[in-house]
Amino acid sequence: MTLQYTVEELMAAVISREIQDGEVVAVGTISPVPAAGAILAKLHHAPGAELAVWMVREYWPFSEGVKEFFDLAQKGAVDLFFLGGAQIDQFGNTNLHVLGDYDRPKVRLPGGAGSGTLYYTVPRVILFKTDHTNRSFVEKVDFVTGAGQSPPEVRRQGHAEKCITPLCVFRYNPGTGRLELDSVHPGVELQQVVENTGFDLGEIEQVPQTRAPEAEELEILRTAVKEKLRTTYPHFVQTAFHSA
Amino acid sequence: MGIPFMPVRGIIGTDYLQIRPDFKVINNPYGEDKIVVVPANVPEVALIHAKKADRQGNILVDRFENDPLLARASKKVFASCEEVVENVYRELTPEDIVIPSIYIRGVIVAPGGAAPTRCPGYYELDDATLQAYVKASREESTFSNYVQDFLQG
Repeated sequence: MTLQYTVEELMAAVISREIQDGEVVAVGTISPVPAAGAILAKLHHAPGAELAVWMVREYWPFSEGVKEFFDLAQKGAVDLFFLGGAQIDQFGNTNLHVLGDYDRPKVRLPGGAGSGTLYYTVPRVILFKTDHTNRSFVEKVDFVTGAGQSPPEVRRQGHAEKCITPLCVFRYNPGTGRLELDSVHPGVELQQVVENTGFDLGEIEQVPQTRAPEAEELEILRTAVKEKLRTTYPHFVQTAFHSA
Repeated sequence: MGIPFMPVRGIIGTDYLQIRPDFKVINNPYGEDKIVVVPANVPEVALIHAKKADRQGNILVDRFENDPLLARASKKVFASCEEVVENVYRELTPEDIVIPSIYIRGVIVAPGGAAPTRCPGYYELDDATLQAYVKASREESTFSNYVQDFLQG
């Protein structure tokens, strides 16, 4: 029997597998898919992971607001963080500021929150985006909110590792400084990824398929994880989980 | 904190430096790297919605938010609250934190004051209203209708 699952469940499972037991993993604002992935990892294979999931009280250990979290990250004590953007480009830059020209934007976005600093202070960064079109995955972002690379004279702990989308997984190649195709999700054609990506993916002959979520992962997502996200992400909880 | 600026890691390499001439890059005086300094943000007024307040002007807020930092940064703080109690310190739970009256200029009682967002222990996020807000905010006319309906509701 083929398992039925939503694209959010698949993305959460992919994110979950990136999390290792014992890591300090933080999830920021408006990040329901990484929140689901992080909690799944904790309940599935990484019970020793320390989670800080913004706005999910059970997994937010701080008393002094986000300041305490930023201080912890600046100290180098957060291992893994998730960054999104309205646009993500081939260099792993993210944009949360504007679409179009900064002074005359087509769309004004909320701004960067922590991306401008957390991208540098956290060793492992996973990019994510819940849509995948050639307007959202672009050659060059309209505004660099989070920088995929930075000049050598500024202290930086790490870089992007993966970028998880509804169609595929990209991996970041620190040698070339570019995103490359890592795997394509089950049911998605390679051509679909190429057509919906605004930057050149190079010559691709064969690409592995993303491992589908397993029954146990889906079970945890649809019960415990869904329940824990209910008050923080009521809309997501209603739409993102497959119901039999 | 009363200090003029703060060093912040990162930023260099982003476009923040194009739009924020007040962000300066300096040589780290205690290291070999370059670092950004940003000016203090000192709001004239902060408005904070509390769970509870007492007649001394102490307020009880949710531990999971940033209200104490906001109170410490701002010149004046006014609070609204769900209810007034005898002494907020006696009401403290592990979910709360007190902002002492020394920071607070004035308090009003305004039950429901955080809606349609949430006030933990009192009411949750009103997803339907927020969705309606997002939809209404696309046009001036639909948005003013939303505001009217919300104020009357």
